[in-house]
Amino acid sequence: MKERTGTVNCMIASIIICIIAELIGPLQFKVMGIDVKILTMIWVIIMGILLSPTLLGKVIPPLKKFISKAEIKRAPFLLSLTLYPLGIMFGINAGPKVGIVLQAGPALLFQEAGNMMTMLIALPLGLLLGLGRSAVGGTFSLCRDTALGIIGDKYGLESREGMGTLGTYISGSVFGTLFYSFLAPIGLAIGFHPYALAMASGMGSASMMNAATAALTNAAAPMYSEQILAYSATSGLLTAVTGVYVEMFLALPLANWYYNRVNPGIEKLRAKLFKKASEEA
Amino acid sequence: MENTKQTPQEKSTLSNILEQIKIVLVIYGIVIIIHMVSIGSKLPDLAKSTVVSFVMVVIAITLKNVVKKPNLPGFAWATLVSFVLTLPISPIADFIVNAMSAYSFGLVGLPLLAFAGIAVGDQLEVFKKLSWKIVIVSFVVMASTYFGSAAISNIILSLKGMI
Repeated sequence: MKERTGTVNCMIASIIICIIAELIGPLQFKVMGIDVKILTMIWVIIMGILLSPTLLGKVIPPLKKFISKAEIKRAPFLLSLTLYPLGIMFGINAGPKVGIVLQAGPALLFQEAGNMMTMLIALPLGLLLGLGRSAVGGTFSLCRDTALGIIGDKYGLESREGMGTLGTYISGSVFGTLFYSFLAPIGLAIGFHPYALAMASGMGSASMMNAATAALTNAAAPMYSEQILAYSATSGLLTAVTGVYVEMFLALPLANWYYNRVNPGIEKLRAKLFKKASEEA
Repeated sequence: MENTKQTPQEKSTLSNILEQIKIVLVIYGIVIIIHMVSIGSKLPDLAKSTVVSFVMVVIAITLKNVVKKPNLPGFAWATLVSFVLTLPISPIADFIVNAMSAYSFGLVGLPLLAFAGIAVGDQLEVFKKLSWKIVIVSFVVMASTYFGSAAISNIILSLKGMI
């Protein structure tokens, strides 16, 4: 008997999920006067998550057999292969527009520095919540696979720093695509230009980038679509090439420096707050 | 030493490439079905887009498995291959762009999100053990990199008068 790799069931599940999602289609409604648009892609993500043996599998036992541990272990590999046809789509939208992309070169290059802003608010917040050194590991970057490697090398994944990186990594895996599907339209509503948000989409995770870009093209006026893809593609490429070096030689030292700067103050503040709380009690 | 090591490794590289290509073919099947169901694309148009896209993917998968330095993700290789082949100086740029016109970007990315959703199942158990603190922090991290980069782009683009 052939060993069950989970490939077949994953593929079948993917077709069914996508077709159901397309049949439901996008949903638009108003909440307190604000237009809320639930995109087709959001149904796909939600249904995929619900198929987990620990969620719907608990209620419908046959589903547990259909999507079992094998399928779940296989899904990331299939995901990595689906990225190839998707990467082609990004590339063919950027290649013919190379002139426009080069013109936007300075913006594209400098926005890479934005990938280091992960720590700006999140690190002090983490310290305030009492995460300590975990805050450094969890906020120095978006914490995708390369970050796991860097922190694993330097501190070990069992360390406080490693726990933080793993935390953001797992939370990102669970919520990332969903989160960015909503964040892109919010960015437009705040007043960011679609091109600026497109350039921001290359963050170090291809699936999050896809979610952010797809949500952006859906939410922005159709005339922007092609250029959104071109900018997004270039930003994704830049991050893929430079990301690991920026994380290792700039972001991590910066996070440590920032930690040393803000930690004493926040420690004092925490001491004060907790003293106050214990006095009240 | 080098030579004795090389043979089995080459073999496994080739079988890796072949296995990945086989799976990608099935993924194209899904992509075609989604296009037909969603926007009623015609099969002949889709077939053309699929073949052209597939050829580029085969190049990208080969590069990913053979080139170890720089060690780029497969996604980046795919983008690079199609980017270079559709540059204005490429003689086949027009052909590729025209042939690919039946493919919609959003629909090609759809099965990816399904796999991403299914893969979450593996993380749920660990996720339950996470402290709520790091979850909140991770949301701020995700929003910060996105809006941080967008803010820089927005400023520079408007300084240059491009938006």
